[in-house]
Amino acid sequence: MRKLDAIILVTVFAVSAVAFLIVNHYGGGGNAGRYAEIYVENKPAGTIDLREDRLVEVENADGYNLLEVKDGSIRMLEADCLSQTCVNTGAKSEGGSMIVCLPNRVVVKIVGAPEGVDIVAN
Amino acid sequence: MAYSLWYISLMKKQRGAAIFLCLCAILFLSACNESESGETAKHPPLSMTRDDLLGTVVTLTAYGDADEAALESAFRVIEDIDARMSANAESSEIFLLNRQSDGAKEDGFAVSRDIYDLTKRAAEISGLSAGAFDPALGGVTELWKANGEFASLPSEEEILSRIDAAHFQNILFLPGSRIAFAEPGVKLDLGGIAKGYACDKAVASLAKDGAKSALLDLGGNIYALGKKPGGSDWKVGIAVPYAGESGVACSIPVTDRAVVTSGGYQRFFEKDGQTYHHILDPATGYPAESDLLSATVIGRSSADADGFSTACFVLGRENGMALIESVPGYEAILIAKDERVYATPGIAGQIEILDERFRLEET
Repeated sequence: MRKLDAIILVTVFAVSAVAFLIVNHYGGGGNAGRYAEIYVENKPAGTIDLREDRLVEVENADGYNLLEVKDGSIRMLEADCLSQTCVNTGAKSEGGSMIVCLPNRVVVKIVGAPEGVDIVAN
Repeated sequence: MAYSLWYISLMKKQRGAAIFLCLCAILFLSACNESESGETAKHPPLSMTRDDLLGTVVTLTAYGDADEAALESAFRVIEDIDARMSANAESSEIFLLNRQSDGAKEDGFAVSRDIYDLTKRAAEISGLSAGAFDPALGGVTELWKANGEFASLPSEEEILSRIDAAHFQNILFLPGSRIAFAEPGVKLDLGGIAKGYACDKAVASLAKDGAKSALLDLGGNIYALGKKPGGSDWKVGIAVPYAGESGVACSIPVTDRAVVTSGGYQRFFEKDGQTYHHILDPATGYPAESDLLSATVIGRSSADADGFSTACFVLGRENGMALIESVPGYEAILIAKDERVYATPGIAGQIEILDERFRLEET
């Protein structure tokens, strides 16, 4: 009987510990920072998996943009806009961060919120 | 239930282990509970983003209690304000008012009631901040713009020719919602406060349509409406105040508050090796040079927080801090160039540093 109790104790502890770790790890928006959503003229134009390195061209009536996905982050490699604000933004990988090319109406938004906060004042 | 039965059946020796087991179970259950009460479980958040308003990107997110129609109504409110208050759009009231300002009439020009009230509030904030924020700076700000974007370096002569008229005391408020200018050449620029005003109106619209829990982001101006779905405060981060970085310097818990940050890192251009950022000092007409990297103001009204954060950034740490301490209900977090973080006493205890480069200064 004692032995059985001990086995139950150990088993239940092990299961709850593993479950706790799983919930802790994936509980808070598990996909944060893993995908980027692209919007063109306010309309969703696709989702990019940041784990696959590649180049993504965005062409519309307002202009041309070239995005680069590399090592889990994304950046505007080229844009034919005047201000180049989007290119100067640099590489982004944190959930909630954005790359914006207002003249060409292209918005890249990384899914999720940055670690530890709900939103960022900027 | 099952756990307590086991507990009874156990020998005394094993009670310690049993208590440990119960604690593990509670820990596990509470972890489950937290994820269920989190943002995604009961009501998936409803979010809409637009890039064609206020010269920036606007995202509204409602966490239950508000439907798509509520978000669309809030966007229409912002649309209306943008159309009337933009300094660039040739059909806006501000544009028309400024075009007429050279031949200043004594009886002024009739404007919408809300533009009249907002301009008056902007002038009050100018008075409180010794002119560090000034809605009459339009004649100078337009010199720095090309195609509506902050991207052009004016000559010193151009700035000097306009800086004298660009003073809030030259805006006259007449009865019947009429605005007149005391001198020719005065131009209004509500850019430093219109985003905040649009935010306040969008919050009112969402609340009217039943939203109890929502986050508004108007180009980085944040408003946290109500509490998080689980009942806790929202955690709003303050961006690392360096260009090209996307991290969070520190965070604060808020409920029903606007959080507005002004910083030289947000928008700038480079010319001949020199960097020019977009927050102009009304005293010089050139980008403000203070001891701050960014100034964040927290309060009920986003319009006021917007104006005050600009004023704080221009004033610098000491005078900026004194300004916000004199305004009831408003708090400030100022990040200085030496990476020290200064906060008003009402909020200092709630700040959590998230980037170790920045150190909270005890006050």
